[in-house]
Amino acid sequence: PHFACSLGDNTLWMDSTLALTPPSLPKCCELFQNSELKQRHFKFQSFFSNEDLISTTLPDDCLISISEYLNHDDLDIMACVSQKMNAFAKNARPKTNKIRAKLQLVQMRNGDIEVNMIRAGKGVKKYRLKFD
Amino acid sequence: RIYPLMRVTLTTSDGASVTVSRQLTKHSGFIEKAITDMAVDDNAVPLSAVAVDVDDATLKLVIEWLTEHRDDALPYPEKTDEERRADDIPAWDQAFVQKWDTKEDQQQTLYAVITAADKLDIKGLLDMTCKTLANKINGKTVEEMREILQLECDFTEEELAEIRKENAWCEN
Repeated sequence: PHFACSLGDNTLWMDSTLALTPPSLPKCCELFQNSELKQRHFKFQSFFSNEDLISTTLPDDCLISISEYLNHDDLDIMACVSQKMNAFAKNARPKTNKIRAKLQLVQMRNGDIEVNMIRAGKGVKKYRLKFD
Repeated sequence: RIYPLMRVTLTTSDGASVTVSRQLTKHSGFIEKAITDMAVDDNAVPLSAVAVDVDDATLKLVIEWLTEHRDDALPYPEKTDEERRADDIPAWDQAFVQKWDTKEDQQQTLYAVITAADKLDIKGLLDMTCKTLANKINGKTVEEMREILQLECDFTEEELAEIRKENAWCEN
């Protein structure tokens, strides 16, 4: 059995078994689907109240554009605002400017390395890198 | 090719008509496409009306911005992720936003202009207004951000704790 498929002015006849076969996903899509990056499922359905001006007036691509101007700290906060903003924050992370940090070797102790991570305006955090 | 003397009549969503120079509309991808689709004579003055899904008050603000930026280079320069920053808004644009940003319905005006820039595909205006809103959000707490964006929390306490834990991996 065949079915007709219109493509512009042309009509193509295709084997119907082709139509029933879902297209195979590229490797990157499989990776994405199987990784922890896949869409998180929340208990409540995402909702927006009547007061929710941004979702009723701003299209998603504008929200995406806005989120790309935020730094990682703001994206952390944005991720906690609502489910929709959580998704946009996740989307913006790879594109947003990285926060510059300087690593300072402090000392080696029992084979482990202690370092200070210095971030502008964020103070100093101590980390211990353990080696097996 | 753009004909600067050609004028275009825009019909707003609330029925008003505004005639503007093609020199201004060349910055709008939507209007340029509409003109191209009409395949009009170069000398058609004024051009047949182009319907835009933007109200009259917002369109006036958009035209004011376009008038100031009529000589901006086209196409609008795309910036890389590294070049993208929100603190480089030109002084005129800052004053422009400040002017209507003090109105009672400031948030709605800003959202209306962002939406209009998106619908009319005016990249420069969209970029500038998105930066302005990003600057408003920048450095705010979750509650303040919800207030600015007028969003409600739709997480459970457990989900919120889980997200905070994920995001705090670098801090603790």
